[in-house]
Amino acid sequence: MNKFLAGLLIIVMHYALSIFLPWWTIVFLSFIIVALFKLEGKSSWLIPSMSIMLSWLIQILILDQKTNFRSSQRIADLFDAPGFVSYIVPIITVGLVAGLSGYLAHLFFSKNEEVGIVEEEERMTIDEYKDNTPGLEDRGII
Amino acid sequence: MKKIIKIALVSIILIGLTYISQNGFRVNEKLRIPGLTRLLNPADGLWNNIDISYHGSEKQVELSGIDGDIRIYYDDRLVPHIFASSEKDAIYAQGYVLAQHRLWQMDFMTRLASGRLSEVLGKATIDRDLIMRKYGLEYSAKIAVDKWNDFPEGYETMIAFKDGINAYINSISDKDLPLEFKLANYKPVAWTNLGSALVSKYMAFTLSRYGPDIKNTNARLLLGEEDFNRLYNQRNSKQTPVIREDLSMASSVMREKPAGIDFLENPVSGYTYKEPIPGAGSNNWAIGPSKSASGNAILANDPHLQLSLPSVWYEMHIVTPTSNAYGVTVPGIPGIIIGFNEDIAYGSTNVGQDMLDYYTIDWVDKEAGTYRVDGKVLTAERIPQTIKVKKGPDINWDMMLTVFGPVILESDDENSPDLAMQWMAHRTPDKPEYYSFVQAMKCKDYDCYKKATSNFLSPAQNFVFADKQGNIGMRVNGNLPVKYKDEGILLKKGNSIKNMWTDIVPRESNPQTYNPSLGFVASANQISVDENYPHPFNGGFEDYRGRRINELLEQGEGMDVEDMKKFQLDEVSIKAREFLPKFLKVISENTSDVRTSEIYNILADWDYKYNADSKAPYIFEEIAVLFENKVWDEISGQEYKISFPDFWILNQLIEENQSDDFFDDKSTSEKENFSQIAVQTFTEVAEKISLNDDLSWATKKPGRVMHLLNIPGYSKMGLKTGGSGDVLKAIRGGFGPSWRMVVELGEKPIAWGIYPGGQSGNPMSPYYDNMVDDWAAGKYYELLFSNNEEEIKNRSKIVHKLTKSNE
Repeated sequence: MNKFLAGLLIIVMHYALSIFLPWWTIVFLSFIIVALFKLEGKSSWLIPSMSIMLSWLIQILILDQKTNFRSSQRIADLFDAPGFVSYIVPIITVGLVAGLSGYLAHLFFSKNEEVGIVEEEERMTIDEYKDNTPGLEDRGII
Repeated sequence: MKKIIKIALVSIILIGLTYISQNGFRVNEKLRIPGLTRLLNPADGLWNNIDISYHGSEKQVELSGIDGDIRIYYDDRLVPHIFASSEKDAIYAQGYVLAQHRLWQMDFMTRLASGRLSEVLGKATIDRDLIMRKYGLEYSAKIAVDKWNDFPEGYETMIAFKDGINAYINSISDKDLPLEFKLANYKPVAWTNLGSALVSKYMAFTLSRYGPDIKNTNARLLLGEEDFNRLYNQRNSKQTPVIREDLSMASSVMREKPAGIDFLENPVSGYTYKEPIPGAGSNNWAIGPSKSASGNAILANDPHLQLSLPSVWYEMHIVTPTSNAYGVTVPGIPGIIIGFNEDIAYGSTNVGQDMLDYYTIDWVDKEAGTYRVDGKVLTAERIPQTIKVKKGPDINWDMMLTVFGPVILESDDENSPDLAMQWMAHRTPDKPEYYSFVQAMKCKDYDCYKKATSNFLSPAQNFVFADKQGNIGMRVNGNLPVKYKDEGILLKKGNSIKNMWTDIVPRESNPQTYNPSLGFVASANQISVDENYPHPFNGGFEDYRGRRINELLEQGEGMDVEDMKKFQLDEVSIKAREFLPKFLKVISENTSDVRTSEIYNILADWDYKYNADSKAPYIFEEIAVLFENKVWDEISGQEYKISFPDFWILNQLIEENQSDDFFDDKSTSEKENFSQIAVQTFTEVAEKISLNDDLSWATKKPGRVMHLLNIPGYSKMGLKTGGSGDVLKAIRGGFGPSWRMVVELGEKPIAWGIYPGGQSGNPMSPYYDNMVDDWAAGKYYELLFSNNEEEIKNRSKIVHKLTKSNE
């Protein structure tokens, strides 16, 4: 749920911010969201990366279909390239930028020294922990 | 530690990737890849340049600078039909519409003219900027704008035009900026009157910069006076001047050759300069009732310029209570430059008169700017120039203004002098030139049109006229310098101000004709007058198109609009028709097996038409170029710049003396004549050409219309057009008829037109290049013209309303 919310927030906030601010505000947005939601491991780069890529893909598709997908080819004509390049180049780059920024946030705020290598730890409530960890009473912890 | 290294590494990659995605990177001196993510992001990138506003829409914009409501109806080619309650509002709307469709082009043209491209495009355009600074267009444009203040009537028009442009600029956000602004990552600045003056000066730069003085001087020194005059300085006796009537008249202003004038003793070299564009020219003509099937006057005009996308022209229809005019203008200039209204039609071609002379500068101390004139030492005025360069250091340079004009050419060769230039385009008219085109929209007769254009200064144009009463006229219009015979053909010594021309031919003495007995008027950049005209004419005049149109119009009887279109698309070459029979005759007489040669037969069967599918034009051009090189072997291969004589001179030599010394090949001990050189030429061309190749003219010399930044994907290339610079259908590579218009002036004018482009300057728009293919195929569109607003509205797709804001 946390991850979903983080992704949604990135999409909504970046869309709103990009009305007034340049596209590269995604660097800060991704960093802040990952830090706030304490996304770790793969999620730290995958969530911002995937959400912004999805957001841009949808936006571009909506714009392109208005001209029966002629616009992507006209944009690509600028570089003498096939039309799909107009999609791939911005989407991949913005995904990389957002992902790197999220991962950087994770590096900054993670307490684990081996950041980026360890798998994300399983989260559980204290009762679940008790149930799943036999012998706690024997040790006098509880 | 490991974590810190990781953070540092990821930070560096992130910053680097973001920076490159935003700002791009330089591949080499000429090529810079723009920031692709900035350019292609969906929020304000190129995706927002998608043109979806022209699929049937109605839009209303509130503006504060207008007196009443303005309605703009766009027809199916996106031609705006502006209905306004006053001329001021109409011109305001014209500025608004031009900015809406051609904002970047207007910005580009002013930067190009003022030498400020590097400010936004970087190092690649520094040389071009420097050349434009040397020509001093901005310097003279500023003087012109200052003088506009003295002409309140016209100034109000210009203010309205400027306000209209700026109203559009102020109405858009970054995401709406034209594509090219995003590409180069800069924003438009507010439009000023200087912008319009610069566009006007750039027209003069394009059209009135004829000045082969350096090459002529070298030719005269190489060949001697007699041969120079024979080859470079004579009229083509077969030419028909623009004004064919007897123009012998007394002139109140004459100029005698100053006593003791002398010319340079040695050839000159070491100059770097931009040659005037070859191929800039035009055709125009009008036929009166005696030549017309309907009894109506018909006017035709096709200006030949460098073809570009966005196009040099923008088509529009302007209706006010006092005028109803249709035609084209150059983005940045108000009014209609070539067009018609309910009563008259008008157009122009370029006058080739030499308006630019060079003067040698005798420096006393170049660093100090002192030079010697008439035994006195004068100091050149230094006008500091700074060329700002994007992502590079500024370039500071001083324009040196002498008594003759700016120092334009500095030689790398210490034995060659620096040159200053005197140029008509630097002069300032009493009334702004654009005002001619605003006034002409309202004219109902020739007197009004003459008056409207009487202050048009530069570039001088052959203004053609026709009205619905059947009157026709042609006027060589613009400032013509009063010269002595042959003045300005060679470099002039700057040792005396007496060497400068100063007077201007009084406008009433400019060559003109009205309702000539021939029943037609015609011009195609040929010489304006015969030798009886009191003021000598010399310059760059076209040799063949003028003859061809005169031939067609003389022969034609009962002609109609379709004939006029055929003439504009005529591909017959007088150059080939004159030369080739003589050439082939000596080939067949001197080569026994030639009659079986396929190449010979292709040429012998040729109808002299530069047809797209024909092989003969290409073979002929190969022969013509090689033959010229062989005949002018005395001239080629010099260390200094020198050009060949005009092609018609060759024809004259063949007709007069086939053993002329110039036919001799100087590399052999024997003396060759015309037939020997012709056989050599034919043999070499026949050996070089393979008939298995596709030799069709359109394949070998296709037409093209390039984007102003030479972006191939936004250009149209490989056009199968046919035509040549020497024929009426004057398409030569990237040059050609930039607007074709034919107007029949009956009770209600009926007009046809087309240009190789589209109304929108936006490469993403379907209206960007939608007319190019039809233009290449020789098609015309009937122009939607009426003063009935309802009729225009019913035939339009989009309506824009500019309403007066109450604020």
